[in-house]
Amino acid sequence: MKKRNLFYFFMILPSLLGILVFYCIPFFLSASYTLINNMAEKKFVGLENFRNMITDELFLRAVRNTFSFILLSVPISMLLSLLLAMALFEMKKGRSISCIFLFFPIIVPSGTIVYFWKILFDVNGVVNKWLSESGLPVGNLGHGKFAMAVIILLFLWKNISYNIVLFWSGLNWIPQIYYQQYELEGASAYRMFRDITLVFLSPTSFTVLLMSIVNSFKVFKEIYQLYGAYPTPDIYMLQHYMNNQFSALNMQKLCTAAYLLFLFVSIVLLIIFYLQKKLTDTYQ
Amino acid sequence: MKVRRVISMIFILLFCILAVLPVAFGFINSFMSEDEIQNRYTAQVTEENRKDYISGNIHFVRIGIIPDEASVEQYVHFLLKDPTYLRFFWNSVLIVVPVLIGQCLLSPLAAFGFENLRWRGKEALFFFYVVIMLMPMQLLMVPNFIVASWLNIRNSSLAVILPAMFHPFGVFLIRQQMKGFPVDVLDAARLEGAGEFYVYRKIVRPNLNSVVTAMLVLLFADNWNIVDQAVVFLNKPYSRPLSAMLNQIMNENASMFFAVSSFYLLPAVFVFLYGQKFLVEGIALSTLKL
Repeated sequence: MKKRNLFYFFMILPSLLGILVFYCIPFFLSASYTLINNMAEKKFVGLENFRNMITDELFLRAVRNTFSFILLSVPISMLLSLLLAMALFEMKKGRSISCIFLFFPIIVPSGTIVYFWKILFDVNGVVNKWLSESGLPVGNLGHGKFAMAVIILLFLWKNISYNIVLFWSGLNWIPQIYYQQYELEGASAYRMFRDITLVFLSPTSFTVLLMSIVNSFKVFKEIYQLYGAYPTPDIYMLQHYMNNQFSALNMQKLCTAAYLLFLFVSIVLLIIFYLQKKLTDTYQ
Repeated sequence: MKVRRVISMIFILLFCILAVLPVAFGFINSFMSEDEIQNRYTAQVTEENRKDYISGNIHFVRIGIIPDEASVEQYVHFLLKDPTYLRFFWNSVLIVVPVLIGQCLLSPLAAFGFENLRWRGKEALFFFYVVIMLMPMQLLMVPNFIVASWLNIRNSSLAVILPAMFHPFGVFLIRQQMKGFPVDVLDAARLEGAGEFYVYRKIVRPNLNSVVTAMLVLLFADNWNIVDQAVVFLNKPYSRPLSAMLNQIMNENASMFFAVSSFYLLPAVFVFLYGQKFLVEGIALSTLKL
């Protein structure tokens, strides 16, 4: 038995070494970088880097933007993908061909379609053309509140497919007998949705929530490709903040920001895990 | 009932069109001539927009699906005449292929080990994998960056490849699939005197083919779309993958964009069509049940 266990351990070892060397060890070691003033002097300054960071206006702006992006885009994407998954479930004919089309955006590289978005949303783009043709004022869609709306659209296009798959597989787990029961009792479609679909989908919803938050950070690809390293201040994200510290080679700011981000994501994960566990406990 | 089905159909149809539209647009536009693309989409002053330009009005793009005149000159240009674009394409291949091979070898092994190991700290160790999997790229790049400095591989594509090879997603996904594997089968083989590696290679691994395919498709999608890492790690000219160069091509050489980007999409489409069946299963498996 012991020999066998050792064998299993050696199976894990290559992967584990990689994880330790490329992720865990440097991350823990980088904690020391957050406590010194710079890489040359290496003077211990305590938590001053953290204090400077949470009072840095640029960092706060990035945090605010990231938060508002997540708060806006995640619920919209969840709602829309739930609707689509239900519609897909309702369909009898042509489902598999629709799946191919609907899931297609998962594999499309962000760069491939960046010009399409530019043509739509540029100052002289299609949307503005329509606006001006219908007599409305033309705006710069790359700035201000519009910019946020545009990137939410891009996010939805790229990430909704993923959520549809998750919701769809959740829907497939619901025993159809419940619906038949309710139908016999003459219950309305809304009640069926509330009492059966929503209840059975709640574990899935947590997964979708989690994956949407994880995926929402990937919107950086789209923003970066459309607007570069310094987009309009309204969509300057944490990801931009960190990416720009890389090019400035500022290890103190970089590691401090990484630890703050780590703290934030961990808290969100803990809350979601906790709620998920509580929910499954109540149902069992 | 009937009404609901029809509404669903229309709804789905609409979104199918929306999902394919940007890609189809790019693909069809890739057959426009260089001049036509310049005329339609760039701010360059040409015969057509002179009047607008002189009178001070905004010259709007003329979006079009069907080219006025079909041509393949851009394809000929980048496939035969100017190797720059193919060089970038090749860079992408040289990142994706090692990552996929590495994951293919490491992940099923590690997942099998994790599933069978009897040790108290096992799940705590696995929790690290899950946490890393859920962290944003920008955060993970900080430790990657530090290691790359230690190993002196910053500015080399190894700085992108090695961390991606060990990314915990593969192990996680495959372990999820293994949880449903009947243990009795394995125990029977063991009673017959089969060694552990034999059990893995002959019984477990063949049953993992579909989930490994799903993993490969999802990892391909991620690594064929590298932008963030390239911006941080690959600063030398000609070392970036094409995915991170497309925006530059759009800004500097707009007429080439559609042809090059459509060409870049091709491998992704093949991978997708090949693995589409497994993809749904794979994503459904990545459901976190902790």
